[in-house]
Amino acid sequence: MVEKVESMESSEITEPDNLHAGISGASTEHYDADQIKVLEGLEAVQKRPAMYIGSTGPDGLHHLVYEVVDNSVDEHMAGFGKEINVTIQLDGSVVVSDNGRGIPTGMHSTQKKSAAEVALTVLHAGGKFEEGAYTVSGGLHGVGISVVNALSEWLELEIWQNGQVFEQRYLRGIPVSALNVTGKSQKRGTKITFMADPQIFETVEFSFDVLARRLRELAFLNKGLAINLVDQRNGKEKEQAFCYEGGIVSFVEHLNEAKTPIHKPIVIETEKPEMILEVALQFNVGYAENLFSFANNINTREGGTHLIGFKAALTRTINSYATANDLLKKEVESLTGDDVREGLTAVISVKVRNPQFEGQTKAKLGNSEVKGVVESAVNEALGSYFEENPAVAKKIVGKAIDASRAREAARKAKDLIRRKGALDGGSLPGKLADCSEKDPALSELFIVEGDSAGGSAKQGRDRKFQAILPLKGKILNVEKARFDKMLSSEEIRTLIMALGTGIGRRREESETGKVDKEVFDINRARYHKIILMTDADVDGSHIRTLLLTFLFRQMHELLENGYIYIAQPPLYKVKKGKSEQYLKDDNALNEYLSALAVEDVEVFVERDQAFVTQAELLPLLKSLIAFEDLLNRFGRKQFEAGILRAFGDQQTLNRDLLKNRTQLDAVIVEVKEALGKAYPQSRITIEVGEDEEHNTHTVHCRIPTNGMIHTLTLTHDLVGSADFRELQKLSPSAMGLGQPPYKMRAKEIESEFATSDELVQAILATGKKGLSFQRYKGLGEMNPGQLWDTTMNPETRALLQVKLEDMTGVDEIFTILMGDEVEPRRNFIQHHALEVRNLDV
Amino acid sequence: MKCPICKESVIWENNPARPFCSTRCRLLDLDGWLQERYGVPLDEGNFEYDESLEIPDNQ
Repeated sequence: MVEKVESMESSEITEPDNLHAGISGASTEHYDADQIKVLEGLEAVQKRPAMYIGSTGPDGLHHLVYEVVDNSVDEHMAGFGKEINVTIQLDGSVVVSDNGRGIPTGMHSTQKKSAAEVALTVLHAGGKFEEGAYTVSGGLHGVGISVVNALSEWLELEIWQNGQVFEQRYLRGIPVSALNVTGKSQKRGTKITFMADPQIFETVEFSFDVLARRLRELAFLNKGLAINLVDQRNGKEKEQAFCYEGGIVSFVEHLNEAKTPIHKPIVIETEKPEMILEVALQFNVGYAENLFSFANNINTREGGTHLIGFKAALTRTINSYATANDLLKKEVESLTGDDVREGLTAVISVKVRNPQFEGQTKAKLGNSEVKGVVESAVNEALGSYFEENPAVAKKIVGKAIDASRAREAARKAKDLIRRKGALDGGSLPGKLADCSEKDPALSELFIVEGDSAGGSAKQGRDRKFQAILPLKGKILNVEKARFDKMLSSEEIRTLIMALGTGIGRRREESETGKVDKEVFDINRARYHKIILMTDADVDGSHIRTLLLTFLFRQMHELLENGYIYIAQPPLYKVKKGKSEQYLKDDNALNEYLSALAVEDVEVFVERDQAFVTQAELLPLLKSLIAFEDLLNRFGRKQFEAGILRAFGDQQTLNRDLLKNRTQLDAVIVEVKEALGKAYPQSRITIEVGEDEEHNTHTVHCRIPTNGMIHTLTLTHDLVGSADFRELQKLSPSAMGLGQPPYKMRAKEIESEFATSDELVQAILATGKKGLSFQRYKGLGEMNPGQLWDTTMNPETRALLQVKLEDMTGVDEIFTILMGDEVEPRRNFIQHHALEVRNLDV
Repeated sequence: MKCPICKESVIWENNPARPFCSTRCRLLDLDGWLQERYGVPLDEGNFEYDESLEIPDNQ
């Protein structure tokens, strides 16, 4: 059994540990059992894996590989081993091998087993406790190879050392045998093969791309280290090799690949007794700031003292160069950190002896001594670079001045809000009907379009936890013949105040000069459910698009935290006798009517030569309704639905048939017959043309009716489209109804229909008998009680949560809608009117 | 995706200004909202409301 151990405190995860010996001055070829110190064991890991590797999802799974690779990287940093191979094997297991010194194989001085076994079975056993090592530790890295062992269904260890080969196998962390010598080899290094435990992980499927991203990063950070990734799954082998002689300079060049740099990368390298610093930076013509910081190879996503030191030095050096050379214009007093970082791509990598990681995800470097060292090193190096390269220095200062001016435009915006006190959320807007609940997690805000609906909502709500904010769109004539719907700045301000988060940035004095501080703070959000409730019409969808776009762009964290919802008011109320029912949309209505209709109606199925009804008819009817819906969608793409209906009903029509003239002619005869029934008064022309590009035919159909000419050209593309195939699948002939006329029987009366559309309408009309409908055109048509019942009551309502990934689409719609280019906008509105309205994000 | 203001491509990770490429562009956008520069056109002819799906009251 695995040794019993004391339970671990989470803070102990940040304790350094590792297998390999220290580097730098303390580096030694003598790397043996005594260096391993024993701290803890494994059962705790299996009980609470997330505490050690972050999660049991894909992130935690991939972490296993990083953990093993980190050990090999440390060995490389210590000066041993130049190559690491990572292979995902056919069975899903992963092999990591290096050509370092190999994990020590001698007997451990206090435990009666090999040092390697101690490293694999005891938590926090590792050479890195020794003085003088730049260790990977803290964060989630550096938890130790024993954690990987504990979380593997099986693990195989192979060590090549002193001419011998050692092997040992483990099952769920328990050694199957002792570490045995199994052969001879002149190789040197360690190979670990493991199969992640499917009883612990939600998935044990490794992603090539995820591993590749991290391994590439490691190769960038460790100049000259070769890391190869091989994937043997999926039949064919996939391989990527990472090795960068340029180190982080290559990293910066890689990040700037698609951009236009304004100078060659600037490199700063310093080695101090307490740390090693490497910086590479390069400005490009864009505006984005793209900073990556690492401490002991760990991506410090939340930054930390190294990043603070770098930023401070950059701001100071650029400002003092600008002042000394009289480059600042009158209107620009001094350049802020944001100004000087516009268009900057930089990688900052430090290696420190005892890194302390802080923050929620342990991704922030906390060592206070680091800031000063980084700051003075960067100040000095950058200062002399500027002196030697005045042309580059002037370009960088010029960019920062432009940035400062652009910011000025935005300042006006900030002032507008600040005057009203909205920044602090201190005072609440008068229009807001707040709830009495003070806990944001339990509070809901309904943003309601229009005053009358706002009134109903106020009366219908549960005032304990539901707040109401009525908002109105404003209509503005922006140019001749174009009226725009917009949110007034007053409405935007009201919204910001009600939400309580604040917005934008505020300039503050600090030790490094003036800095802009982020004002938006999700922790101050007053509601964790923010529900948009707008009418189900074009106007309503416009307001919703505007609101969503604003929230997405300026308060993306609300979306990322899942605070934004869309209310789903019903579109219909149906009354049958005394019972009332609300129906969400047209689909729900059609389903409701279908269910009623099939009780009274029979439809003739040619294939079976019989009438069907009720349960048998229902799926058939559903398919026919879907067929008509799809035709309608085609209609919006300006295909003639009436003609397409006849072609879509032909099961044999495909790209091959379109090439074969004889078969095509036979289909055309049938289509013509069907169209003859649908358009009895018209002369139908169908002509076949040549399509040389695809070596096939095109079919032109033309039907004049009262003053209108319907045309449709059937092409290679149209016939091959997924929509067309779907159409065929749903068509009446696919349902066995055969060709028109279609026969229906209701209450002993038989009738015939020339098109499936007419048939569907007739069936649904039967369902409507004895019903009364109300279509809600706006929320205002519902009384407070109805609004509560259908849309606001948490017990009965349906809310749509808006996901971040939905929003890129919304922003795109918005960008096109408000764009200045008339043509794309008109096309868009014509093609997407339905989507915009229903914006079922 | 592309930055809504300058149309440069946007890096999502490590970018507090997302969905913009930079804080500069985000602030310019905020300026746009407060100066009422953003509107969605109300009518451009073809905003048919799909009355075909309308069901007449059967009262």
